[in-house]
Formats: sequence, C-alpha cells, structure tokens
Amino acid sequence: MRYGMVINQKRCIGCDACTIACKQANGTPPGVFWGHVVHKETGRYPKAIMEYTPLLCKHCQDPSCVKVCPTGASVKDNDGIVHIIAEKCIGCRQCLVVCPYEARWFQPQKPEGYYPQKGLSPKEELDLSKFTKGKVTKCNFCMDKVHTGMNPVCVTTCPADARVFGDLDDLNSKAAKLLRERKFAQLAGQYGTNPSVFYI
Amino acid sequence: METLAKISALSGIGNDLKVFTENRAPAAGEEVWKPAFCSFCHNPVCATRIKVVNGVATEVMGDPTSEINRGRLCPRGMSVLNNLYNPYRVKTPLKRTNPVKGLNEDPGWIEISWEEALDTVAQKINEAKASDPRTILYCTGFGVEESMLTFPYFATFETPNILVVPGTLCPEHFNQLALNGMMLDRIDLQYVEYVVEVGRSMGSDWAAASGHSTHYADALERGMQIVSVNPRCTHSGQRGEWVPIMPGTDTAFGLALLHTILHEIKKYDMHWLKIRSNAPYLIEPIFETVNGVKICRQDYVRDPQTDKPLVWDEAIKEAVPFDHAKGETYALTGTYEVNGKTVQTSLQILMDYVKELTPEWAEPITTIPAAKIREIANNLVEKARIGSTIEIDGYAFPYRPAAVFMGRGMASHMLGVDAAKALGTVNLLLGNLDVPGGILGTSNANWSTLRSDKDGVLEPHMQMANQIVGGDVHFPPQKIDMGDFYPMGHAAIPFIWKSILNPQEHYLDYEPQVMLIYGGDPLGSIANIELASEAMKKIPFIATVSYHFDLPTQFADIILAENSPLERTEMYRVFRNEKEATHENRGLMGTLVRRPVVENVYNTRLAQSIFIDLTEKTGGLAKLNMITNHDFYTRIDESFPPGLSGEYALDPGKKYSYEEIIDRKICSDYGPEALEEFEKCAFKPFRLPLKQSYNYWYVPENSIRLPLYYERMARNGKKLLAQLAEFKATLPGQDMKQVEVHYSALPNWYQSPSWETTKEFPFKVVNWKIHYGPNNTGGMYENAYMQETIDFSNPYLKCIWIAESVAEEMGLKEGDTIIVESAAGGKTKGKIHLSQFIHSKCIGVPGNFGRRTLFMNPVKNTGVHFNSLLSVDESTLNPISLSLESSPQVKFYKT
Repeated sequence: MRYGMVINQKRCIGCDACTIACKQANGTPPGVFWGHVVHKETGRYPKAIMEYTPLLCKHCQDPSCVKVCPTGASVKDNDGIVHIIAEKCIGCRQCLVVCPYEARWFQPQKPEGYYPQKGLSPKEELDLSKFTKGKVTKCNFCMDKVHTGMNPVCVTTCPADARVFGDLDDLNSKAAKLLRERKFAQLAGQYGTNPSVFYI
Repeated sequence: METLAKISALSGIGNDLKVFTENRAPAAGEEVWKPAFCSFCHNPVCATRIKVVNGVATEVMGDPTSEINRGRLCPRGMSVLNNLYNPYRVKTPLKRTNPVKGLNEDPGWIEISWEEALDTVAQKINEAKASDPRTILYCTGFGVEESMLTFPYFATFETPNILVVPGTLCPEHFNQLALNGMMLDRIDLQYVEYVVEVGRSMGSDWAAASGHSTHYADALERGMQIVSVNPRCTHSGQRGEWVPIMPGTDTAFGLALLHTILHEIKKYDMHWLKIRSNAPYLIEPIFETVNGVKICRQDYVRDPQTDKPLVWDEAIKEAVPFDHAKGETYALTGTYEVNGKTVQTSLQILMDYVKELTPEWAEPITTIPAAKIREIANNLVEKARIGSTIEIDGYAFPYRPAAVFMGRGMASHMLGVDAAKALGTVNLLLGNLDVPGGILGTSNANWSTLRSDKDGVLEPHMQMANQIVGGDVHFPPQKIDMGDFYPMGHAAIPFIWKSILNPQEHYLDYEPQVMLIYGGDPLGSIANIELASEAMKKIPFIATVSYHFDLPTQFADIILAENSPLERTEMYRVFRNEKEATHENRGLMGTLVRRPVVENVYNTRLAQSIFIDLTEKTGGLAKLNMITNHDFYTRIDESFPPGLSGEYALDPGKKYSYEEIIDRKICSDYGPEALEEFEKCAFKPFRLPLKQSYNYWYVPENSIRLPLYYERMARNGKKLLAQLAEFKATLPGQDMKQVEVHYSALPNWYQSPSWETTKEFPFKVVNWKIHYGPNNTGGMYENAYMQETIDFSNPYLKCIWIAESVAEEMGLKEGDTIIVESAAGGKTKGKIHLSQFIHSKCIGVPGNFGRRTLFMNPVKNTGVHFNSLLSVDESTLNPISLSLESSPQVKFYKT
C-alpha cells in the first residue's frame, strides 16, 4: 500500500484554499505552513504565466528524513505515510537538512498565536498545545482522517478538484489511473527519495 | 472557561475597554461536527461542517454531502474560525464619549447594556419617524447578502433612503438585465468552446467552491478556448490568449466587432434576430448631434391603430405589427416607405451606424491590432455554429458554443453602458443568449418567467429592473442619493455626501437626522473620503450594527455588536448560480439553514434579533410580520409559496424570534419533518429537469424579443428631460447635454480629454477583484489566516504592477517604492512588481488593500490603497448607470 497524491497543475487556480484548510485543520502556528502554494510569475509576454506549485511533504518511498532520524521519531508507516512521533523527537533537525522539499518545520520556541498582543484564542489554546518548543512538525497526509476513510483536507477542499489522493498501489484508484494515463513529474527526483506526490 | 476569561482580559480595542462582565463557560460535550454554511461571498451557498470540541470551534470543512459544493470550500470559507475568534471584534454594545468625530479620533467607547443601546437607537428613530421618516438613512451592502430578511426591517422604518453602498464600483448589471432579464449572468461551461472575456475572469477571480472553479478547470482540460481582452492578464488569459486593451475602450472594441461581423463576415444568426430580437422593428433614420456626439433617440415606427411597433413583412410586402407572425418573413435589413415616412429596420440603422467603425478605427483607441479584432470576430462567428441545434432531454435547443463574457472591468467606465450595449449586441448577433453554449441568466424561469413589455421586448421585473425599465422623476427628490433623478441608476452613494452637505442645491427639503449602517461600509467602499467624513459629521445620530471597527464606526454614536457567522441562525435561498454553470449546477437550487455552532464568544447579538427589537420599539412589528408572511424568501417552485403560509404565518400582533421565523419558514416550505434534515446538512436541494435549466425553454420563439435597438433607453431619457423641464429642474452638477448623449438607443463612442493619457499623466491605473476578498465581506482583509497566507504565498498582491519593459526604461527595479498620483487628485504609495501581465500604458493595483483603520487588526492596514486614486463626482460617473470611471490617468515616481 502506498498513499500518494496527484496534483494537476493545469487545474490549480492558485486560490490557496488548501493552504488555509491545512492551517486551520492542523492548527499550525503562525509562520508554519505544512502545505502551501508557490506563486511564481515566469516567462515573458505573450507567453508569460503565473505558475502555481502546491507544496507539501512528499511522503517519499525512500525518505531521507527517516534514515537520518537518530531516535526513530520520523517513521514511514506501511501505508506509505511519513510522520513524526512527537514524543521521540529531540529536535536535532537533521531531517530538516536532508529533506529536499523543505517540508519540515522546527518549533524553536513556544508558539505565539495570531494575535500576539491579545493572547490566544480558544482554538489556538487547543491547537498550539500540540506544537511543543524544540520539536519538528510536518504534513502527515491528515493521517487521522485518512485512517477513517477521508481524504486529506487539502484534497477535499480544493475548489478546482486539482488534487487526487489514493493508494498508488491500487490499480483501480483514481490516482493510480491518472499516473498510468498522464505524463507526470516528481519534484527534485534527482535526490532519489521517490516522492509519493506527483504533478501532472 | 479559563480560555475565554483570558480573551476577555486581553481583548479590547486599544484602550482599557472591559468587554466581559462575566465569564461564560464553554458548553461541555464531546467532539461533534455541526452543519453550517459559509457567508463569505455574495453567493453564499456552500454548506460546511464545523468541528466543535468542548464548545470551541476548531475546524471547518466543506460538507461532502452537500450537492452544491461537494466538500469543497474556498480560502474565504476556510478562514471562518479566525473571523469567529478575532479578538479585534466589537464585543459588546458601545457608546461614544468623545463628541468629536473623525477618521483619526478615538471615539472613547464605553460599554453599555443592550437595553440602553437599543432604547437609545429606538428613541432616535422614533423622533425622526415622527418628524419626517425620510430623515432616516439606512446604509447596507454585501455584508447582509446571506440574509434576505434585512430589507423588510428597513421597510418598517418607512424611509425611502435605503442605500446600498458598494454599487458605484461594480455596476455591471445593465447587459444582463437587458439581454437575460436578470441582474447577473453565467456562462454555459458545459458546452462553450470559444469565450471572449472582456473585463472578466472565470475561475480564479472568485475561486468559488460551489462548482464554478471545477467547471472552469474541466472546461480548460476539455480544450475550451479563451481570449481575454483586458488591461491585465488574468488566469484565463494565461491559459488562453491575452489581448491587452486600454481600459475604458471596450465600447470601441465592441463596435469594431459589430462592423466586422455585419460588413465583412456578413454572417450572423438571422433566424434568431427575426424571431427573437427587435432587429426587424422599423425606425426613422434620424440622428442628432449633441455635444459633438451622434446619437439616435427615435421611437419605433408604430401602427396607428394598435400603437404596436411595425416590422416589414417580406411575404406580403407591407408593414405589420411585430406580433403579426412568428417573424421568419420579417425583413432584417432595408429601407421602406411606411405611412409616408422613409424607415429602416433597426438592424439596418445599426449597420449604417457602425459602417465606418472599422478595426482600423478601433486599433489606436484600444491598442488592439485590427487583424486581431478581425480574428476574434471571425472566430466568434465560426465557432458559434449558427444554425445548429442540440437535443437535451428530448428538446431541441439552438446550440451556440461561442460568446462574449463581460464583467466589471468592462462596465466600470464612463461608457460602461455603451460597452455593454455594443458587446451584448455581438452576442445577440450570434444568437447565444439563454441557449446551450452561451450566456445564461442566473435564475431559472420557474422562479421568474421572462416577460416582455407591450412592444414585445424583454422587460426585467426583478431586482435592479429599474436599470432597464427606468422610472419617474420625483420632485422634490425623496431620496437623498438623487436616485429620483437617475431612473436607470445602479447606486448613487457618492451623491449622498454632497446632498447632506448642500441639501438646497440638491432640491432636498429635509436633512438627515439618523443614519443606521449594517453590512456595508459607505466610507471604505468608495473614494472622496474627506467629503464623506464631513457629511457623516453633520448627521446628528449614527448607529452601526458592527462586527468590527470599520471606518463608519469612527462616526457612530452607538455600536450594536453583531455576531460572527458561526454564531448566527440564518437561512439562505439558493435561487441562482452565478458565473459559471454546467449540468451539475445550472438547475440546482434549494435552501440553506445554519444554526449557531457555538455559543456567542462575546456579548454580541444576531443582527436580525437586534432589528426585531428595534422594530418592536419603533412600532413596526405588525408591518414586519405581514411583510414576512407575504415575502420572506422567494419561491423556488410553484409548490413553495413565498413567505409563510397557513398555520406557519405570523400573527401580526405577536413578537417572534428570528429563530422561530426560520423554523416556521422551513415548515411552511417543506413540512416539520424537514427541521431534522437541516441538522444533518445545511443545504436541502431542489433540482430542475435539465431542459428547464435553460431559460430558452420557457420562452419559445417570438414570445420575447431582445433589444438590438435600445428604444427603451431613448424613451427613458426623453421622459427624464420632459419631467425635469416640468419641474424646472436640472440634474445637480451635470452638463445636461452630456446626459442626453448617454440616452442614445445605440452604443456611443466618444473620447474625452480626461480619459486619455497625457504628457503629464502618461498612464492609466486598473484595479481588479482578488479571490482572497472579492467583495469585502467577512472581514477578509483583517483575517489573520488570509493575510498571512497572502504574505507567505503570493508576493504579487500587496504591490503595484508595472510592465517590466516600462520599469526598465524608467530605471525602476522590483521592490522599489513609488508614489502614484492621479489626475483626479489622489495619491497612493507602494512597492512595485515588474510584471508581464499588465498593459504597458497602465499600472495595476490589485484588490482592496490598505484601508487604514485605527482599531481593526493591524494586518488590515497593509498593501496599496487603490480607491485613494479615484474621484467620484458627476464628471466621473456614467449618468445612466452611475458606473464610475475607475481607471483615472496617473503618473508615478520613485520615493
């Protein structure tokens, strides 16, 4: 089994619904973006285009972050999801160094909320307790939801249906079919980590 | 409890305001997902679910069981929790202690009880009602669009001054009202193959989750071709072809398209024009020249017996009333002798009118090469498949998969109405209105059957119908916005400031005493803020129903603290699907119901409850109940009566809570068993059979005719002038000859020195909606999630766009700070972005950033303020629609 995601950049309209879906569902602190979209104007008139590149952890098949983790905090589950067991993380940040995708976020201090002069909101009180000083965090494909049969929130919310999530090993999954039918790319493939997030 | 207490202690508005008199305990309980719906655009139709943990809302998602958005939700909807828990909200009723009002004054708010607040406001309303109800002004706007019960409350205060504030910058409804009979249109993305967008952008401009973005992406994948005619390269322009145009010259582009189709290609939908337009109607070819502009204001040539417009029937070689036959034998072109007069068909009049308006004529005006205009015209005609049909549900429709799709960027100019007429006529020639592949009205006809007037021409009768139908001059004017003088106007907020400051010059025999503001920002939504401030200071009493401390609160005497959407009970009737449509959503309607998902975070109230209390205290309850019984939410089907029926009708003598009124409406429409249904999903759908989702189906051939010749407009203009003469009045501040120019039955083109670039002001500035906050609802410009995401992800928004080639010539670099000065007098400042996506003679300022306020979340004050560059007065407003010339001349320099 290999959970993965196919992102259709032709469908992406750069709206950032995924970015904010991730933030509010996972309660990440200000400045931390497990998922986000790079907006980049490229080319010259009349061929210029605004490129939208949605980024998140690639849940690599051969994740260098897992390899270098000295405590076993970074793990890849049998379903392909790469995540961090917070209790085991000692904050050494070796995983940040080796991740080709800058998908990991270190929490250098106790997180502040979005309204630094106003204290924490009730939601932030609940959310930020999960973000401990000195730990590394990252996208976990919304594994709690995935384990109940739901999709990651960035997939569910996409107003343009640009993302497809599924078991890439299941030939009947929509994601696997797309990869059979369409040309695709993996970002930074030269690092040999075999990411499970594909771009078509 | 500890959390909320902490917020209470730390909150406030920058002073020592104590907002909580007592702590409120969060509701105990397990994690639960509650149904709700989003309210953050003016098509608030997306059903959501909210996760609530021990009384705290912690997560939002699109409701996967909702047929309308199917789990999707846009970034605005995703930001709702920071709206709910925004500590910069208004948290309790407040009273001003500093009598000095001003944009930079601290009002010195003190907390008061709800009883004191409501009694004070009600007393002021009662005093004004007793002396003259016209002295009560209500300002509202997009912020109330999720609730259609707002206007009945206003009606109970008996004032004509219900002022909808956002209109001046988006009067884009003329074209749709004229040709679709409704205030909004949508494009049929199920079938369209070739779209010429003019001042509009599909998909990314709203990023709507209710199907539109998906349908747009689907259409791109299936190969829909897009040509985006725009000073800015939109998302769709990048995915198709961008044709840069100088802002405000869309009319010339449209006229050149008409020339090319009528005189060069000579192919258009003749059958359609004969049976479904007024193209055959006969006109005397008499033109006038007013202020140097050639205009036509002729009435139809009419049958002396029936007064019906005449057409020339080629079968019998004589003039007959328009409804003599189906129309297939009516002459489309030609000159005839009728009743001793030389007359021509409307189409012939138009053909002669555009004979010299060639693509070569339009090229220096629009900056679009003549060859490109011809290419677009040819593609439109070729790809419209004129004469073809398509069978849907066993019904044969005309099939026209090519269209011009217009928007605000086209309309917000001095000649915006004329652009709509010219480009709308292109669609008329293609025969693509309300048929598969074309431009469709947003509502379907079971809700609002299209009607014709006595001349057989489409006559809108719903919201904003006045923009086509017109009206009578009232003298002295009753409405403070001078709406009585602009019978086809959209919204005239800018005029209220002058009227308030100089009532006599505006023929007003009263002065405002009370202003209530809810759901709109009459200061932030427009320019001339200094003038507005002076006028606001002159109003003796102002109360606002406010979620946050926006600019109007700087002038308020009392603020009534309003709930955030997730604290509100609300109902919305999905009677239209805007913008883009497919089989999936074209005929989809229904009802949305939201219950509060959490207890109120602060000492706020549901706005509707506030208004019910005020209505009771001002003696309007019986009237409100009767209006509610009759009108509360429109029908979506013959089986659903509007209002409240039978046992669910309100007793006029009794007071009901808003929650009870909603329950009664649900029961009235669906029966009591439906109450439980809305506890599962906020959206209850109603779906039309497919063929009924095209309005063509309801109005078979010859039952309505669409205007090619805008006789109604000429008639309205003549009536306006006659009535003004009767009252010996003129429009305040207007050159009346120039007003006459605009009431031509044909699309005008003229140039004015104030529109063209000059040596001193060599650029024009353009502005566009951004999907992160397209119409300023929901406080998106102060929403922490939204603004952080923009700052992190999108470096192209809080800046000024300049064409890279121009910047290089001027020695400017990415990130330099410049000052922009408008010929209209205003200035703004910001960092520049060197872009490939902006016309080389323009600069661009996206969105509505940078409105400075004192007490809102400081993130609100970031970005470049566009409206500072605008000046709004009679010289910059189209005297028909009151659309603002939104692209003034500018110059800029490095700081």
